[in-house]
Amino acid sequence: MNSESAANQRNWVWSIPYIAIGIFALAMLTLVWGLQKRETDLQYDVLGRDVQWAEQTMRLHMQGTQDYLAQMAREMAEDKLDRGGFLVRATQYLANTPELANLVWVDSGQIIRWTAPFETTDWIAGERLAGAQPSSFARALTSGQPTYGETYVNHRGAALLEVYVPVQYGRTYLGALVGVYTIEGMVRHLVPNWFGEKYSLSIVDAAGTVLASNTSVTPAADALSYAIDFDPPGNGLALRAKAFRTDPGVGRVVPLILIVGLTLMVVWSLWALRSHFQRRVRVEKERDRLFNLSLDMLCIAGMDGSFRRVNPAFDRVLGYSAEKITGTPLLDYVHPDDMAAVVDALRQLAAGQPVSFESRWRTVDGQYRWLLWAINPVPDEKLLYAVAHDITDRREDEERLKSAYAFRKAMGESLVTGVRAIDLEGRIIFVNPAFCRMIGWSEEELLGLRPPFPYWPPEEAEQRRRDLDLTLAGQAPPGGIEMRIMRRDGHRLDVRMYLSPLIDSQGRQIGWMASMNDITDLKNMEAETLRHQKRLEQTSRLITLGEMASSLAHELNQPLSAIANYCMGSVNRLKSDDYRREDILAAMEKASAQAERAGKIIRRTREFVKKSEPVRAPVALAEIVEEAIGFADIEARKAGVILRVEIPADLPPVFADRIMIEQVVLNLVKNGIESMPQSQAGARDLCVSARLDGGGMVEVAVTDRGSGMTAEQAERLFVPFFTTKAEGMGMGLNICRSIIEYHDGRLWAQPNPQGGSVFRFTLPVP
Amino acid sequence: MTNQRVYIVDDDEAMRDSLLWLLESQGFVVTAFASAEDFLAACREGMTGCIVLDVRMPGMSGLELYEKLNERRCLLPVIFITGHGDVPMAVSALKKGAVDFIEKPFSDKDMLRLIEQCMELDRNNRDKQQQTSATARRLASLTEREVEVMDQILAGKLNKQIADVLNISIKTVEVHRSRIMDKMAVRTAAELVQAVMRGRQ
Repeated sequence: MNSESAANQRNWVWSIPYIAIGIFALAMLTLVWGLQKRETDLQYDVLGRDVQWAEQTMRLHMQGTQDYLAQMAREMAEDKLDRGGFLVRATQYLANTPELANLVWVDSGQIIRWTAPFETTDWIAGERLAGAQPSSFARALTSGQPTYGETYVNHRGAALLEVYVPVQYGRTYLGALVGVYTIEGMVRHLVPNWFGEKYSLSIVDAAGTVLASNTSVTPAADALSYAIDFDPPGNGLALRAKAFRTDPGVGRVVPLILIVGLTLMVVWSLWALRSHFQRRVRVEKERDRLFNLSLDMLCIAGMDGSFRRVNPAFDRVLGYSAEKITGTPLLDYVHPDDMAAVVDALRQLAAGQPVSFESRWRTVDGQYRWLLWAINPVPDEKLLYAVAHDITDRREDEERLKSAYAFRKAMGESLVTGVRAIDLEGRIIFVNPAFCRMIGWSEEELLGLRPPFPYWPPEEAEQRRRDLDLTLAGQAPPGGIEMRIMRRDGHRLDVRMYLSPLIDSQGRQIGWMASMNDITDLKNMEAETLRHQKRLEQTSRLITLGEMASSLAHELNQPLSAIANYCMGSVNRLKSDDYRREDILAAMEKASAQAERAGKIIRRTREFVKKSEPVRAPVALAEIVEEAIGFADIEARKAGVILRVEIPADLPPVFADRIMIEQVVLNLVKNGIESMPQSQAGARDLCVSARLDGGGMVEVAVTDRGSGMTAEQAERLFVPFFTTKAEGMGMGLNICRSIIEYHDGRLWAQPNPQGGSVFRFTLPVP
Repeated sequence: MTNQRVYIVDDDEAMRDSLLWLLESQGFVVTAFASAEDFLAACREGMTGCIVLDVRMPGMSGLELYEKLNERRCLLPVIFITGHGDVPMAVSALKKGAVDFIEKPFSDKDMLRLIEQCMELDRNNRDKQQQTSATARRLASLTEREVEVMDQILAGKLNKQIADVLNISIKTVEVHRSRIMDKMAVRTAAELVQAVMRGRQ
C-alpha cells in the first residue's frame, strides 16, 4: 500500500472518532435539552398553578374588601355611620389594607363627601368625579353590585383601580363607596412574600402595558411567564407572572458547559493527539532519513553485543549490507588487538555507563578501518545506541604528522647547528637544544625574550642591534652574518648566522629563522693559516733570494745562447763567403734584441732585490724568537725535540730587520733540530737564549745537544756550498752570516761543552 | 742519403731562429717546429736526419716526445738541449737511448760535432735496416722444406744427419742446401748464420 492511500486511509480512520464524538455530543445535548425542556414545562405548570392561586388569593382579598365596603355601605344606608365613624373605620381598615390607597364616600350626585385617609390629596371633598369615574360609578349604581373601574394613572404616576360599592337604601341609591387600589399595592400586598420571591407579578391592562409590578427587578425576557385574566376586576386586566430563576442559571448551564466543554476537550485532545501523532510520524520520518543518510555509522545493538539495527553507512564504510550484519555479534568485526578494549567497553555499557573509544574494524574485503565509537546504553530496554565515525584517514594523518614531527624534532635536537626563531618584533619564539648549548642559556630562559639578548657581548651590543634591525627589515645578507657572541659564562665565541623568513602553514610570514654555526675554530684556523702564509711569504722571500741566483742564470741562458748562435752563424757565413748582406743584418739585429732581453732580466732581478731590502727598527727579541719558534714547533715535535726559550724580560730591544733576524733564528733552530736525529740517545733539547754582552750588544745563543762538529767542520762552516747534510745545498749559514754582518753583528759557532754545538750572534741595541 | 735534415723542436723563438741560422751556416738543411705536437703531426716514415730537442717545453715536454717517437719506432737520432738543472732529466733520457745532450749555452763546434755524429748514425741505421729487410725477404722466399733443412744446417748438422732426421735422401739434402745458399746469397754456412740472425731481428 503506497503512502498516499495509506494517508487517505489514515485520514478516514481519523474521522471516525470525530464522528462518534459528534454524535455523542449531540445525543448528550439533546438529552440535556430534553431534560431542561421538561423541567421548563414542569415549571410552567407550577407557574400556572401558582398564578391561578395568586389570582384567587387576590380575588379573595378583594372580595374581602368588597364585603367590608358593602358592610360599611349598609351601615351608612342605615345611617348608622357618620363621618367620624367612617373616618375611624376607614382609616383603620386602610391601615390594615396596604393595597388600598383611599376610601371615599361619593354621593349620588357624584360629589365626593367623605375621604379617607384624612390628609389625602387625591380626593378632595366637594369635587366631582372625573374622567372615567362617572361611568364606573353609574354602572355600579345601575347594577347594584360592586363594580370595578378601568385602571388609570393619576397625576403622580401611580396606577389605580377603583371599586365602586353602591350604597342603597331600599331602592334609593345614596351614592357609592369607592375603594381605590394602587395596582402596585395590589401586586405587592395581595400575594404572600414567597410568591413575590418566586415570581415577578404584574398587572397588565388590556393593551399589555404593565401597570405595576411587585418587583422592580424584571426577570429575563425568556423567563417563564403565565398570564390569566383578572376578573373581577376585569376590564381586560390580566395577571402576569414571570418566574425568576429560582435555581441559579448555573444549574442549567453547568451540564451544558460540561458537555460542550468536555466534548470540546475530547475533540481538542483528539485533534492534538492526531497532530501529535502526525508530528511524531514526521519526526520519525526525519529521523529515519537522518539515520539512513548519515555518513557516520549509526546502529542499535543489544546488550549481548549483536547488531539489531544498522544504518546504510555501515555498508558504505565497512561494506556490509544491513541484512548481512544484522543479528551478528559485533565482536566478530573487531581487530584482534583491539578485542580486549572492546570487551571492556561492553562491560562498562552493561553497567550502564556510556563509553567512547577508538578501535579497528574489519571491512568486507579484509582491511581494517579505525572507528571512533560513542555508545550509550539504555538498560531498561537492554539496548545500546551507538555512533561510529570513520577516523582512518585522521589516524593516518596523525601518524604521518607524528612521525614527521618526531623526525623534525629529532633533527632539530640532534643538529649541531643552533636554530633560533624570532617573531616580527624580534621576540624569541623558538630555540633548539644546540642553540642553547652554544650559548649556555636554557630554553625557558630564552623564550619570549626581547632584544637586547643576553648573549650579545656588551662591547658589540651596538653592532648586534644593527644586525637585528637589518634582519627585521628583511635585509640580512644571504651569505649570513658573522658575529661575536657571548656565552653565559662570559666566554666569547665567533658564529655565523644565516637568516631566512619564517612562514606559517597559511603562507604568512610570522618571523625570522636563524641558523647559527660556531666558527671559532674556523676563524682560528683562518687566522693561523694567514699567519702561516705571511710567514711563508716572509720566508719564501728570503729563499727566493737564494734561488734567485739560479733562476737568474737559467733565465739569462736563453738570450745568451741565442746571441751566440746568431753570431757564430754569421761568422760561418762570412768565412765561407756564402751570405747575403740582408741576412747577416737580420741576424745581428736579432742578436741585439736578445741582448736587450737579457738586460731586462737583470733589471728585473735588481728591482726584486731592492724590494726585499731590509728595514731596520727597534724590535723585541722575544717576539722574533717566539715567531721563529712557532714556525719550527711542528718540526720539533715531529723530531721529538724539546724547544726552550730563555730570554730575560728586561732585555732591551734590538735594532734589526725583524723578518731577516727571524729567518736567521729559524735557520739556526732548524739546523739544531736536524742535528739531533731520533736515533740519538740522551736528551734532545734545543735552547734559544739571549743576554747582554759586555759590549752593548745583545747576544743570542742557539744551543743544541747534537753530534757537534769537528774543528775542521767549524772552519768551513760558513763557506758557501759547504754542507754536512746529505740533501743540503750549503747556502743557509752563509746567508745568515751576511744578514748578521749587515746588521753590524757577528755570527760564529762553538762546540757545546755538554755535547752538541752553540751558534751565537750579536745584534746592536738602538 | 743526401736528404738528411736536422729537425729542431724548441718553444723559444729566439732559440729556434738562432739555431736555424747557425746550422744552415754550417751547411745543414734544417726544419724547425715550435712544439712537440707540431713535430709529431709532421713526422713521417722516410724522414732521415736527426732531431735537436729542447727538454723543457710547455705542453708535451721533450722527454715525452722522445718516448712517443720510440713508440712509433722512429729511428731518428735525438739530441737534447738542456738548461740549468735539467741534468737528471737528460741522464734518464740518455738511458732511454738518446744520443747525447748538450747544455745551454753551447759552443757551435760542439753542436756541429754532435750533429755530424747523428747524421752518420742515421745513415748506418738505415743501411742496417735495408740489409735486414733484404734478408727478411730472402728468408721469406724459402719453401717449407728448405726452412726445415736450413734449421738443421744452422744446428750444425751434417748432410747425412739431416737426411736421417728428415727422412730424405742425401742427394735431396744437397740439392736443398745449394738452393738455400743461392736464395740467401751466401757462400758459407757461417754467412748463412749471420744473414739469418739479421733477418730474424
